[in-house]
Amino acid sequence: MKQVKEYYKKIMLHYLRNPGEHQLYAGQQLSKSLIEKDIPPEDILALHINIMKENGYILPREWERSFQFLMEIMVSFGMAYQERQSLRLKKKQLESEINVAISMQKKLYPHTFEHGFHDLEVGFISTPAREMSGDFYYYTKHGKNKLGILVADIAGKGIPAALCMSMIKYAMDTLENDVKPANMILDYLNRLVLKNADPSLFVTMFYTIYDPLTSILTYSSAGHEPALYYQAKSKKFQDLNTKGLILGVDANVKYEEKAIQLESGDFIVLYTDGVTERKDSDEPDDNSILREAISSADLSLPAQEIVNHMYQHAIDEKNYQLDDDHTIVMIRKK
Amino acid sequence: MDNNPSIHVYNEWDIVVARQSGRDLAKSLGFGEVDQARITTAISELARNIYLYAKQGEIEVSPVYEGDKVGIKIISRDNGPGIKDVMKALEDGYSTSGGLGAGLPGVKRLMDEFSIESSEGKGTLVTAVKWKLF
Repeated sequence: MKQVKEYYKKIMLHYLRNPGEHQLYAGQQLSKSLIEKDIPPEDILALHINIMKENGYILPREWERSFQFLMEIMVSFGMAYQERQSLRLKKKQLESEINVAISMQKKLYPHTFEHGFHDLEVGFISTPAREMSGDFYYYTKHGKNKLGILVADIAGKGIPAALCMSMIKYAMDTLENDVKPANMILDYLNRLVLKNADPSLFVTMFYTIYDPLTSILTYSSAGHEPALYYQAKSKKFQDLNTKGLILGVDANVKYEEKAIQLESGDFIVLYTDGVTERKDSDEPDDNSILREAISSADLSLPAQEIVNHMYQHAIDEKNYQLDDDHTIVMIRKK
Repeated sequence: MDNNPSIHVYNEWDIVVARQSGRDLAKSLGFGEVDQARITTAISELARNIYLYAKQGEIEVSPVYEGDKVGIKIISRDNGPGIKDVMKALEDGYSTSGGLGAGLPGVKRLMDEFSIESSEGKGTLVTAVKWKLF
């Protein structure tokens, strides 16, 4: 601190004797050190006045008084400045906590999506619009043979959505040996979200369970986008949907369950509304984007590549402006 | 009357009286110009809090000695509504004069020692000390 004062004195006196841009530049560099050392403006003013006085420069009385007045003003600026410093520090701490939350959230998603399960092939992609995603996908083995897959969209994003997401993940993990049908699982999650999550949070979800012994895929939806079903033989598309309110709103909702039987080459696509929403156009927000993508895809490729193709098509449509989380999961019977 | 002048704060003018009292004492104790300004600002903020929120209270300024240290002590006392959440009131950004860096967090930074007792309905007591640097 003393060093800085000495330096201030040196540059300023030099400037008084030789007023040049060089000294002013040195002053500017010095001010950065002063700020780094958290020296408040009132101290700088006092320093300045003292240097003048100590080096034989006389201050007329009115000027002296005016500086006393200015000193009061500077103290207030100093207080505001210090508050800002304190808030900057707080912001850094919060950002650091959020980074931890982000890496914890990443661990909630399945590491490998078991790209093969009996005669099923699965491909998936999920990209967040911002740092923390509101989309969730997960798979659970039910009993010995069945595979459950969910895709969900948690309204809210950020840390609240991540907290809700972790609750859902752990709930699904406890259902591993359970053989509840898809609609009962939604019922269970509905009451869970209602009980535990903030009223402002709600969740849409599509749940499917596949049984390789029968090739039957059952499904149930809680206010989620319909799944897209492609039949290989007829090359026809169909939307799969069931009645059921989004999770976390009404404890008395009865979820429906429906079933289809998959044949070789058939697949369904689960997705979140970020993928199909067309914001600026008059076209409806249906899954025609995905239908178009599939129609132009080489279906002999692995499911993962077809998913990548669908994703690419969707973001091309939007001119790469991703304003929502995007998730696509494809489940195909080999 | 006493070595510890106690100023009754009831209207805005009393804030000025409290400031003057603090500045006079600080000057007599040998505090430099900048510290005089800081001490006076701290008194001003505390007195203003009394005036704005408690409607009336007391400001007391007195010298303090500890070993060969010399300092000034400010006590602000009122029977006003009190502060419900003191911890929050001391946080930056929450103060009613947020963005200005003023209020209680500001006073805490201007002074060297600071303590506060307050609860809802029970008034507020703030004690702050600034030591003279040689």
